Amino acid sequence: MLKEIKNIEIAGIACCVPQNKIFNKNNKYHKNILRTIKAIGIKTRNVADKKTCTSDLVVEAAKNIIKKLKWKNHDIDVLVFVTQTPDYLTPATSGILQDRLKLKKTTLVFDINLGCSGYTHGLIAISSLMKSLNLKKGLLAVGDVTSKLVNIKDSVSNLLFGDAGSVTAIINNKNNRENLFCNYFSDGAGYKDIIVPSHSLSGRKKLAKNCLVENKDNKNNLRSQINMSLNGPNIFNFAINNIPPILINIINEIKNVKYCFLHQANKMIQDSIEKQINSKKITFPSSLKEFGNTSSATIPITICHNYHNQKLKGYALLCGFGVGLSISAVVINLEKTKIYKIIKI
Amino acid sequence: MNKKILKDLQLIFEKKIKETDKTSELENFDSITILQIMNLAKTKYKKNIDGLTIVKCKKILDIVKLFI
Repeated sequence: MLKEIKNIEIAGIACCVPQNKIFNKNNKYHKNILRTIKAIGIKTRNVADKKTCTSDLVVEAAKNIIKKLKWKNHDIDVLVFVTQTPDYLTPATSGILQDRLKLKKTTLVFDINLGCSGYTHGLIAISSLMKSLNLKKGLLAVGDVTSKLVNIKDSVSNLLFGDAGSVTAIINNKNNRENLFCNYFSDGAGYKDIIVPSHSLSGRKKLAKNCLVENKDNKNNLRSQINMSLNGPNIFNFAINNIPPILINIINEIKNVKYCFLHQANKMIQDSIEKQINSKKITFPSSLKEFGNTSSATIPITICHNYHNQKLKGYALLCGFGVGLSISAVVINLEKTKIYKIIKI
Repeated sequence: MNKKILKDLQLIFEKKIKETDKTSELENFDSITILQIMNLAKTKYKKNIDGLTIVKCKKILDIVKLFI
């Protein structure tokens, strides 16, 4: 059943990616690289250099949106940062963002540990908080440098991930008649399907000694404990079986959905969901080809890549899915939203 | 039915295949192919097949049987 959060308006969306662009066709670890690129739909990815971390990308996106919207830093009541690649295991990166952006000390700041469902989960979390605590202005920051978790010799994941940061400016406005609708679904039994085992604190000593040792899987992919491990078939099954019914229910309930911004995982999942929804009235924009899977940032990246300086009429259905395993969907009107061109650092 | 499924599978494997072909001898029997087979089963044949079941198929005929 759809939940509703009243009077929430998205004022603006800004994104930032690293300058460094990787061309997948140059990858040496795939026998038939062109066939793989065609199947996953990712030609290029922007990847952070050694020194750049998630907060660097998010700070630039935040500075850009605060300046363009002419917001004052001390007006921001809440900053929520969603990431699975924080700058440190502890403390939370949101505190670093607060400091670097010079937000007031009374701003509520915290991190949420999520990946590809992070943008929509984050929208639900920050909107609910703003509504219940009567906070006027908020920033939802999302971002990841997932490329740093991937072993280049792991052919399951070495073509998929790009890095990005994004900031969405949110207003809790009593005069705004539009509401945010949402739904969500989680299956914790799939927690091992997307995992970086080295951060486990149970068995920490054992892992610390061995965490850099690379092991071969049955397909000769090399991975250590500090690398991300993906169970492709399980994730695929979870996505193509659970997402379409959720989205079809929403589309049947809320008329005038014009856009469906899916998390950009890979082309096979996109195509399968789109085919099952089977609606000619809805556009499914993509940014996969140019940016790859940028984790929690794929939805704002897709919005900014396709519609910067434009206005979106009608409802936008946003759907994130991935690590957990988890899914969340948000329906919102983006007609008043300022969409900014993606910046590069 | 088998012929129709075989034709769909040929598009995925990007070559002519027979029911008696051994999957271990097919160059393209990789993770991409497995996802494509799962997708075909779901979207065209309304069947849920998990990846592990496909990996265990020794011959093309075993894959075909999953669709029926």
